[in-house]
Amino acid sequence: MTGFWKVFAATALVVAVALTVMGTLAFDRVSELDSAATRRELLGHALLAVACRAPLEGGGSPAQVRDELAEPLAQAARLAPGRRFTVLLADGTVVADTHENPADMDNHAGRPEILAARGPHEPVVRWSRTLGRNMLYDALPIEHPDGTLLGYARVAIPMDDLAEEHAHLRSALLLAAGLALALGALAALVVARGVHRPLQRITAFVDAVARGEPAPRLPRSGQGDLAGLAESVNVMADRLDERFQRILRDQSEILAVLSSMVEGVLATDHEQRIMLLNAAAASMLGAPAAEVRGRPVWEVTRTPEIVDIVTRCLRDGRLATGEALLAGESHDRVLRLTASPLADDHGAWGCVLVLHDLTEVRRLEQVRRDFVTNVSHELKTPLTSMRGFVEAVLDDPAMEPAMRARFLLRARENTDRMVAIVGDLLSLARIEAEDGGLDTDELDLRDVAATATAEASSAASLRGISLQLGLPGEPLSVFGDRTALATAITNLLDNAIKYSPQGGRVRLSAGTDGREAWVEVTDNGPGIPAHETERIFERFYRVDRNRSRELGGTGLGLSIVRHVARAHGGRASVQSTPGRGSTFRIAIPLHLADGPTAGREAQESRADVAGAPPQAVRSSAAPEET
Amino acid sequence: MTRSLDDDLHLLRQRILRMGGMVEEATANATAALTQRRPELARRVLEADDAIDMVELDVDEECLRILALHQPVASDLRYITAVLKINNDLERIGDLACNVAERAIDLSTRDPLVLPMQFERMTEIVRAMLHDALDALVSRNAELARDVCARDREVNAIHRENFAILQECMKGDVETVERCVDLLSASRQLERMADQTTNIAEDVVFLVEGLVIRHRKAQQRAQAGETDRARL
Repeated sequence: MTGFWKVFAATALVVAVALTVMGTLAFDRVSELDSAATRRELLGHALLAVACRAPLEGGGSPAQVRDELAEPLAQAARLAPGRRFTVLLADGTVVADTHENPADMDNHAGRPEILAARGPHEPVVRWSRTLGRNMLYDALPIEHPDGTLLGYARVAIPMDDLAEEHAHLRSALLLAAGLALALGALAALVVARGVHRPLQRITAFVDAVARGEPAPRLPRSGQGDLAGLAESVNVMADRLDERFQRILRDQSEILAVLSSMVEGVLATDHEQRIMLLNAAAASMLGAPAAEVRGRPVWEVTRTPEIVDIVTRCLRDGRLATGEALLAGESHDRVLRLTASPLADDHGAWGCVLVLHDLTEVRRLEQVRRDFVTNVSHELKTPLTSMRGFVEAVLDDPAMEPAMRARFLLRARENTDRMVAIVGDLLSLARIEAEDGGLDTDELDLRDVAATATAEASSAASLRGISLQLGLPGEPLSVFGDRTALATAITNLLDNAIKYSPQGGRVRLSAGTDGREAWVEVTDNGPGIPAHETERIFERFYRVDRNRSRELGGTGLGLSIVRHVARAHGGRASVQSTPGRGSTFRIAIPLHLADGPTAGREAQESRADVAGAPPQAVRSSAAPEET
Repeated sequence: MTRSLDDDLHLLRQRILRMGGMVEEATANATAALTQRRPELARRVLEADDAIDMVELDVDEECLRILALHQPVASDLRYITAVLKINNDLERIGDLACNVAERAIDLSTRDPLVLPMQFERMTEIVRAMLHDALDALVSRNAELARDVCARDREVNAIHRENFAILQECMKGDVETVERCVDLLSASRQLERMADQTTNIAEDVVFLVEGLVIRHRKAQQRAQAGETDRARL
């Protein structure tokens, strides 16, 4: 309602000012009119004074004079009704009066107005003892043409009349003022309703929009400026809504793009405080995204390379690149860092850092380099000795037959070795090929394990190693390639036997967790350091190169094991304690006759590998090492 | 132009964390060099040591400058004294990492000795302790710092175990003595790195709570002595 009061106050002020001005003017005017009336009365008074001169000059008896004066008095009374006229002789004796009997009246010579008539001639207000009222008196001397004073003509105006008139006028003005104020209030109310209410609505609406709350649009009623304003505000709100939605959409798009990026992205302000980072960056820095926002980069990551590159980028305002090598427990992480400045005319106000994880790329590069080196090396060794033996035979035609036979035998051994290596390589290549390389059928993993153990028993007894077999009572039904699985299990057993010390223990056990069937081969050999456990499954990778070759490994056995497991939709793993021994494990999905999920998995894995030659995986080679 | 105390403290925080980051990196490289037989990482540790020493001097100087210039009180003063001590501890850890790196280079030239020692577990704990101690410094988390202190015991236990295993090995085979001595030295350095890290964590507790948790037993003994005296 403050609006109403404001409008009302303004209206009241205007009314008050107008009334004051008008009242003053009116009062002035009324006074003027008043004095005009007075002047007219005084004129009548003067006329009376002239009219009275003749009777008074006659100098008859008072009764005579009174009779003669009756006529002019009546005239004067007609001229100014309500006024009292009195005629006195020069000695103060009253000779005529319009209201009283002159005989009853005392001598008026001492009355102030009479005294005044001889001097300054001013009207006098005083209490009339005769009439008992406050009267305004004015007296004029009546003089003979030669200057002799004949008497006085006096007029009396009741003061009450004048006061009454003024009071009337005042109350009329007050009434008018009250009326004007009431009208003003009414006008204020109307204006408040017409202007202020819509303004209030618009204000409330704009406030809601500013707070981002949903608000119904303003009604389009009314006309004039306010309706135009409401319309404009509506349009503005629509536009804001539109922009807001677009910004939200853009932002969520950018965030979606950022969060789906493999590269880590991080944005900082000029004080290196993190404004934004995606999930990849959070995981690379090892800090939860929600906690690091607003904190400086150097608090979140203490990796000197990262901090340096951000500092450099912000300082120089130029693109900065670098690499960070983070040595880890089991493998190093290599990050390529690219920091680009966010700059305006005043220089860099921020920086965007892109973290590119090169670990996998570097690892694959290393694996490929190692592979080429290894293949060359592995093939060169038997080739060199073959050439040595063959050249010896060629150079010495007179060689003893026994010697020659031994040399040729050694050459053939090396040829076998090369064939084994090349065979393993081909097997690997086939399993790795997209279209698979397995001939799958439903089979019992226990049979495969038992057969492989039986085949390995002679090698075990040769080294005095006890070979134990622990199989479950119920069948381990899987979809798989018998030859490939047998090769994998044989490779694991060969490794275990080779690396166990004389008189050691090797145990093969199998089982299931209801979803997967597993085969484990445990030895008590030297074990594998934790950081090597991933790499031993790589081709030609060896923990101890010399020892492995002494034992006749191709360096491909475990690689084949892993590939066979993967081709069956499973995996190969190792757990090892250096100095105590290792446990290798192959796990592949069970084939459950009435289990639809497992069945489908098996179907899929069969479909994956369908159409491959039956003996796709055949490793003649001894495996590498444990 | 003199900066405000807040600005100076901000800069100091940045520098001590930079120091921490460098030492962390040196530790990671040295331990990886040891457990993975990678002398090239060890050489990086030795190269980085000078830079660490320079930053140490820098931080020291900055601390003294702030003390002289601003004469800070209460928690600011506590922060600066804690940083002075942590700085020193970090530099020591950097030196120990250099020692480990030297042992790693020596060992990498000889055949590996396969023994049931838990070096990997040990280095993992040491690295995690250092990382968490610095995290505790950043987030002023006394609880995390106390946790770091608690982990020191496991490192000590592994060191004792290593000691016994290496002793046995040396008794059994004279050939292995040199390698065993190197490994023993490395194990000792790692154990001392854990001790230094514990000191850092204790300084963090002091920084956060204003409570000295070092030498608990000595403190208790001293208090008991005082009360005894009071009774007399």
